[in-house]
Amino acid sequence: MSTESIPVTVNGKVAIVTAPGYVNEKSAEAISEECSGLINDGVSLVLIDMRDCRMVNSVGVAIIIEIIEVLGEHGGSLGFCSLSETIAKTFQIMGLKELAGMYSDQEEALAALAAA
Amino acid sequence: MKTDDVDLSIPMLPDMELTATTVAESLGAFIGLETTKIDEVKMALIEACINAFEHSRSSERRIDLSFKISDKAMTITISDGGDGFDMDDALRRIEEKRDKGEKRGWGLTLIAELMDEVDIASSPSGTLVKMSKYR
Repeated sequence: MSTESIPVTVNGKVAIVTAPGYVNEKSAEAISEECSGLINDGVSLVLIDMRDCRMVNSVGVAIIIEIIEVLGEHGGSLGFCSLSETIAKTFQIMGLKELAGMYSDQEEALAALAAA
Repeated sequence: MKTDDVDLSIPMLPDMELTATTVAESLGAFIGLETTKIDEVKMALIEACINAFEHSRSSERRIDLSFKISDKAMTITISDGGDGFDMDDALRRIEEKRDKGEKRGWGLTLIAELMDEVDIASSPSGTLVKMSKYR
């Protein structure tokens, strides 16, 4: 079990997970654990706020993709907001644009996820 | 040692790639590289480091990095002293992973996409990744 603390808040139907400065295998697993808990609590719309995140690695992103798949199996979805230009480019290279919404900020993301 | 080179040796420990990215960031700012380009260098460097950590089978458990800066580019060379690998075989396995929808194995692709020039040489005495970002 990961010991990294990941802030989570709930806004209506959407759980907002704040990503740390570096999304690596360890922090992605911590995010995954939080999302598993949210799914168990019946929450299936997740927004990962990337405003504090400046670096990711591909192993961490692979775990995030697995989260997206699990949410999908439960009829839910995941979005990202406030991505840096480079992280957005990295996500695009890894195919995440086809799997999750990417929004400029929380407001836009919450509106889109709630309407989906 | 050339005066425009910065050399670094790091142990293969969790998150030690961030030591390398700190050096890259500092040198990128030193030569006036745009922030986005610095971020791309850091991302590619992370992938190069963790590839070496995970796949090199180095007995020394260290990697050596050399950062060369000029008014044209930053060039980083990562050397792992491991067993080496066959590039054609690696590319074939990457393609197989993509076809199966596997989520891992993106390191080499990210390095190639984020840097302007990449050269990888591998032999039984180790792998050398040389990557450049132009100003």
